[in-house]
Amino acid sequence: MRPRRRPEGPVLLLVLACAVSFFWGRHLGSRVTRPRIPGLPVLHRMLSADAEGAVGDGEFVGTGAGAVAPQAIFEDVLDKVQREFVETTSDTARLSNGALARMFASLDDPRTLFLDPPLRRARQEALMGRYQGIGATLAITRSQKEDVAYRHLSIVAVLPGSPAEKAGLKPGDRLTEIDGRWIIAYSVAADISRLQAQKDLDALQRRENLRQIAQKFQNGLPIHRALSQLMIGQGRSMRLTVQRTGVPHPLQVTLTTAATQLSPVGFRTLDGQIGYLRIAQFNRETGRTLTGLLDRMDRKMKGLVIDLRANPGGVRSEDLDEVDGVEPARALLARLTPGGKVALIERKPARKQPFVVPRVARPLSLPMVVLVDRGTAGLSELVAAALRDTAGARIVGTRTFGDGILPLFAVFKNGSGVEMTTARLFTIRGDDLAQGIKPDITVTEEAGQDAPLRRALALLET
Amino acid sequence: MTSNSSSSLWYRLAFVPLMAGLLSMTFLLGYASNDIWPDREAIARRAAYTIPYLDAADLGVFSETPPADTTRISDPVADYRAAIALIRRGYYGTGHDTRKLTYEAIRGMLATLRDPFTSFMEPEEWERMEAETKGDFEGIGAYLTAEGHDVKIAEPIENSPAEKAGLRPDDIVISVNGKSVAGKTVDEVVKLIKGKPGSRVHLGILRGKQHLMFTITRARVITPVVKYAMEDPEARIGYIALKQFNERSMDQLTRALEDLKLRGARGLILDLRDNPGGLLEVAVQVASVFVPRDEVPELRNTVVFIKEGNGQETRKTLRSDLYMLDRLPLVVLVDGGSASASEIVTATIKDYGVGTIVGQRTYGKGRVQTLFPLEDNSALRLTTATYYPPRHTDINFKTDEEGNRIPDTGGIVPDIEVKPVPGWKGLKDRKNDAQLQKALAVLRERLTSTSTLQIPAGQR
Repeated sequence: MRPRRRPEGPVLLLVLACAVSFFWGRHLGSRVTRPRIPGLPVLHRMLSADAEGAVGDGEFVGTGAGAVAPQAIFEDVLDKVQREFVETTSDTARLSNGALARMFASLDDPRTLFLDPPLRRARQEALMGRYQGIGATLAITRSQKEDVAYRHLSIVAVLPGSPAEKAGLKPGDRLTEIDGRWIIAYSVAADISRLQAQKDLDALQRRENLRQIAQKFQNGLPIHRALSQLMIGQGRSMRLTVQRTGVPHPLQVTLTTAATQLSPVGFRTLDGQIGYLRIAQFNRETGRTLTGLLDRMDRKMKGLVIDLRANPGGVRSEDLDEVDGVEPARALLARLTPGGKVALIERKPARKQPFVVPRVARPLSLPMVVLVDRGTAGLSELVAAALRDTAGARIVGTRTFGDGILPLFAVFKNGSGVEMTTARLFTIRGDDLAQGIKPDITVTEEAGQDAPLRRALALLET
Repeated sequence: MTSNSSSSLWYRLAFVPLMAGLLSMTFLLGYASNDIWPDREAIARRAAYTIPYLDAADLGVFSETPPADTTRISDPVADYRAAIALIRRGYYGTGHDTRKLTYEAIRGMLATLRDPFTSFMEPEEWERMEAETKGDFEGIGAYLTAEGHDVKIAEPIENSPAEKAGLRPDDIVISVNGKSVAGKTVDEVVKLIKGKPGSRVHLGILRGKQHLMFTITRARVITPVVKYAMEDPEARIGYIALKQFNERSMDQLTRALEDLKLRGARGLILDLRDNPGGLLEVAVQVASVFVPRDEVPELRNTVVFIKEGNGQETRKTLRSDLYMLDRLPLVVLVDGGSASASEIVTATIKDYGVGTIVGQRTYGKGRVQTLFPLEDNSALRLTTATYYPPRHTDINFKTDEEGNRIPDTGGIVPDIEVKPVPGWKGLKDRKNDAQLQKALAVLRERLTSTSTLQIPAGQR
């Protein structure tokens, strides 16, 4: 027989265990900030800590109190702001915009740009060929000088018939001022560290210089706002200060913003025998018009000129078909090349994949010349290179912009959006399109006469 | 026997889940008990703080807030999730983890509040700030600073291991425990140097062209927040500079004042210049040191009114047990760097008429921040209330529509305005300190005029 256990022992132990567990729970519970929700706060807390699956990844912060999902932290802060901030904050769209703007800015990629709702609308319209503002596509480019990282607002493509074209702006121009207001080109930290490096200043001078720096940045125009002024609206007269390579002094141009409508595709037959196809940019309408045109095209023509000048390319979009330019570009290349791999695309660093176009039954095989200039960028550069590398097209014009980037365009629930670098583009041989395409025959534009086109026609005649 | 062993098996089988269930129940009960029966200490940890910093945010140039689309109903959490998912799925670059992106999103959201005093602190920053409000930390006791690519000793703290070992300002740190610190940031070097009290750290130092080695035993270092001296031994005017309002402030302040009184101080200068503030509770205590109760009946001993976001107003009052000034003539020195808790003390002294304010208009921050520690050891510093001095004036500076500060608004205007003279090299340069000299002049005059009146014959 086993000795009969006395009941007090286990009961005591149980009580002790319960007490330990209670106070441990109490201790942990007191360490977290608690939502002031009457009823079942424990349940709420447990549920919100469980929402981690929502973001869908495995990287949580391990702490003594257990792993916490980043989303839970975001929700907690939002909750406190809405409940405890000294002023009422009912404008959730504004909170949300601020969050997204900063998050995308933190990627520190000059070609990733958060678009607030008005800018997003303007950009979306522009991607469909309806431009406002100065009528040029713009990109933020970077440079480095004496340890300071500069950001510039550069012109990519100047659209035909736009205020920018009439004012004589050129691809590659850097805009430095709008109506005399400096477009902030670097971080205030650069000026402050420069000030700190100056040793011979006393406290008073230092304070005065600091005040001047603050003033300069307060009066400056943040790049985001400059972009809005340049891309939104009509009928506003503005004076732009422009830096142009090769021109020692900044230029001043005055223009009035206006609507600029682009017809995506133009076609006519020149000299009876040569087709001239102008593509303004790549979007769904471009694709529809192009496929219709190419499927009905006279196969006995002597040649085809494809004009990609001032074509800023296009974007990829996951759910806005009307702005997506990748599929139209693919459709064009399917009809003009033998198909298959025509270029390379990199979705993540150092992982190149072929850009494949479908093989169609009877692709057009005509002698081709592609016209390019400094305003040929992004997807247009990919198309030009693919036509050269796989369909024997010759490239005429000037070196292209050298963008080499495919942006992804997306819209959020609060009305804002983003244009974000989603891939880098390379030729089928692996040349980086960020270097631009050097034409086979370099022909510069001369006023009044379309020298590149005449050269292209001459090439196809022979 | 058989029935007995099977029942014991059942007993054992049931015992484990039963126990587990019971224990988790009690755990959850304990967890939840905080809501019904709150842990006082835990609440104290979440006490209200006033801002201890003036940082780059005050320049107001980072607040680039995009306009919102008011026609849409927005769910910030949904947008945040969509953006995180989009970056993970579609962004070309790599190495952007969700936690960092979330911190950036939080900062961006807070920026839209256009409140320079609201901020988010990552775990490391929060840890540092906690140490600062506590007023002590574990290490060698030296402030480090970056200069170009070098990490330098800015100042060894008095009586710290660093000072005892002989470290000097401008010494360049080149190695820690034999490893080069080239290319490391100040924060990284600080992390290397810090450690448990009693442990040792080897520092390679470049002083001019000399290469020196130091072995320093780490200790718990108390940062001095008070500097004091008998500024004018002849007129017996004492001087106390208070740098910050933290958990050490009262202790050091009362000791300094006690000492000056023992040495026969007849007047006192309280220097609050460049004091960015600190704990609200400490401000009330410090004010109580200088202002006696029942001095001005209609002010009802108020130090500060605190108005919450929901409109509720509470009041904090003078504490009788802390008064120490014994009606000595008092001058308070302030400037544009005196903010927050400093302004509470200054305004209280001014409103009760127990001292003369000399210097320049104070910063103008009448806002109280609450620190909310978050679950991943980061923290939110959120402006949750407005405060008003005893006479209920609004001391907040005004801003224009872009959120920039309008000069000469808010703050406390001194009784005697004195600007610093060009060429003044900071606190150590007493002679060229125009504000300090003015304070001394004011007190000397008060002392000569009152001493003839008040000191009874026969005492001399």
